[in-house]
Amino acid sequence: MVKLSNIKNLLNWIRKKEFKKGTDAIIFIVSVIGIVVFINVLISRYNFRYDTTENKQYSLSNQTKKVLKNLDKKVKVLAFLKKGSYYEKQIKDLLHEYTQRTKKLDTEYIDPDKEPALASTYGIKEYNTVVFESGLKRKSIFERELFSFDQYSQNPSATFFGEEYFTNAIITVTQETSQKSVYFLEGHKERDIDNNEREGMSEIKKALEMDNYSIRKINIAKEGKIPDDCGVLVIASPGSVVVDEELNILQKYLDNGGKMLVLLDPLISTRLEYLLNKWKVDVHNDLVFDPQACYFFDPRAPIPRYMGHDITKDLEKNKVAMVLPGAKSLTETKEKKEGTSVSNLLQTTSYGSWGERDFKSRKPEYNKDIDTEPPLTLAIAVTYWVKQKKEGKKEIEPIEMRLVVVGDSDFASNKAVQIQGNLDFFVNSVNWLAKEKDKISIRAKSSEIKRIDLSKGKSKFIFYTSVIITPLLVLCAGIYVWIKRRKL
Amino acid sequence: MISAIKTFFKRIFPIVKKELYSYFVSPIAYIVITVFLVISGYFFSMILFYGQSAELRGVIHNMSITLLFISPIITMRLLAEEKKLGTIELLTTYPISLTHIVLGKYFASLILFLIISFITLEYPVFLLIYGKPDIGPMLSAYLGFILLGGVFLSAGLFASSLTENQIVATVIGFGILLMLWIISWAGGLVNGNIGSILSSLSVFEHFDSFTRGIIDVADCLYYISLSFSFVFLTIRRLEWKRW
Repeated sequence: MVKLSNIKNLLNWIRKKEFKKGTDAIIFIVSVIGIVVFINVLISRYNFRYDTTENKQYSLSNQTKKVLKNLDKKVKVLAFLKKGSYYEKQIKDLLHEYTQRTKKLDTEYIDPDKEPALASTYGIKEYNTVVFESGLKRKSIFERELFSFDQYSQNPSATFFGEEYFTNAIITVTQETSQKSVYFLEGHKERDIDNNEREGMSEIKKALEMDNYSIRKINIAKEGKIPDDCGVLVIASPGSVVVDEELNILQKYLDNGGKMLVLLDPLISTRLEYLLNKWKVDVHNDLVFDPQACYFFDPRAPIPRYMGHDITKDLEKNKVAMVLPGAKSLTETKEKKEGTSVSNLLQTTSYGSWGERDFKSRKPEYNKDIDTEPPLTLAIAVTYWVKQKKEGKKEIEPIEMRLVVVGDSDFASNKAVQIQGNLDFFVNSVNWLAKEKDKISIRAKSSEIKRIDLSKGKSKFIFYTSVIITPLLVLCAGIYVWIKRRKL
Repeated sequence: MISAIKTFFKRIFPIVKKELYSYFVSPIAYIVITVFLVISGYFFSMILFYGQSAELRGVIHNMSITLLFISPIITMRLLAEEKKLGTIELLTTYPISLTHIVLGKYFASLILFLIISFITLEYPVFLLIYGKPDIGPMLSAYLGFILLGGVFLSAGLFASSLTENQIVATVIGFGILLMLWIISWAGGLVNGNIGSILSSLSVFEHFDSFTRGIIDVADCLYYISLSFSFVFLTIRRLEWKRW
């Protein structure tokens, strides 16, 4: 404890004449300022922030706080925001809260209009995209994922999902697990992911790379097997026969818990259908017509309905549509296969659709006996729990085989992938197949825009009172005082 | 201990009283308040009509900038005049120290500022009558505004201690406050480490949290530290000058 007499001595010394001017005084000033700065720096480490808003929109959830507290790798955040937009403020505010809680987050706000070169390096195509990067890993988040705006309700409110996406992105890019590889099959005239013309799939490649995948090609006829680091195998519209040896390799891959995405096209059979049949997917040899729900009046480009699945749930929520130009339909086979579970992903929307099988007729129309009857399934997801032999008493984690089959591949080509739903569906399918773990679900914060409706009369009242009457009262008080003084 | 505090306030009180009296006797205070209210009222109305949103965030930002401009005018007289009139000799004969004098004058300017702030409470009152605003952020915005005022006034106080001329005091006061403002701009423009250091020094960067509804201990401490530093420098400056 500091003695009272010591303080008194100190104060007396400070009061002395010699102290007040001269080097002693300067040292005193510098030390006091130094202590003040030190206290501030100290507090910033043990800081406490209190959120007074009604729905605690600036508070971070416990999950996020935990992630940020345990963050030990540097994460760079590049927010390409449109200046002045309402979204810009929300994103900035949220990122600000994040940076307050960890020193490992380095945020940079970039105006994509002012720095187009930087924007294109990161593949930015739209405003309000936020990129999280750590080392070689990168994850991009888009405006349409962050906001869902309900403008038709009584109280218009914008729901902001920022916290969930941002925290998950941080987890994704700092995960210890090695980057997953997506292999694209080649050797059967499949669509080329390096082809950036209309029929190629280079846009898909870019999108997957933005989502932290490394993309490779594989010719299993040459290699003889599927590589060990294959996270997902994509077969993008084979155009020639898949021979038995290859089918066996693929079968083995799936039997051991492989993950595969198969895109097919109408009018082509490659014997891959036999493999799919074993996994409960029956491929029809037809061409889907849906005159009531199609793209630009072309009934051969149906706009499908979402059937409720992890892959399509965001598309459904955000009301984003897909188009499948030139598709064949699929069904679940009747044979039972133990341990398998089959879900429809996409279906034609109307009962006015059909699967045309008569390719010779001039006028395509629904013939009940020949054609596939509605509703038609356009994409299917299959899961299967692989039976594993127990090695003694060791617990083995069950492996799940996952398969997605789509009756069209054009939707993933460069010409059709500008349609937002198409791109998302493909990427979501890959994500689902690769089984993205550790995804945290954080409840979105709804920020109710506090509207205030003012009639003309009320507006006038407010204006006159605040701008004229109140100041006038003050001025009158001043004049009154002035007059009183003059009288004196 | 308590008696020491009691005597402290007893000694300051006459200074505060005298200073407040001279504020309300001079026309300057009324003109300054009126101008501030007209500008703030105008911004309040316009922001409300165009934004149609029951919040103070926009207007309190404008009020803080307006405050930056009127603070030097409020504080210019505090110390500069004393030297000119030579009344500082008179003051020092009383059994009160320079510290008491400086603090007394500072508190007087603070009280004037609190009176102005009180009058502007009509804005949130309007919002409460005609809408359903979020009360938390309104309270925190005012807290931030008051702390900010404390900083501006302390800077003006320091400026007025540097010279005998009121006009020069005002100009220096403007200079210091504009420097603080510029640091916050620069912090926003420059990226990277320098940018973040500048931002953490900027007066307005800390203010933003208050307007959003967040009461941050570090922000409060920052403002109090800054005010303390200016007042402390003022006292040291006068001591230096005296001897």
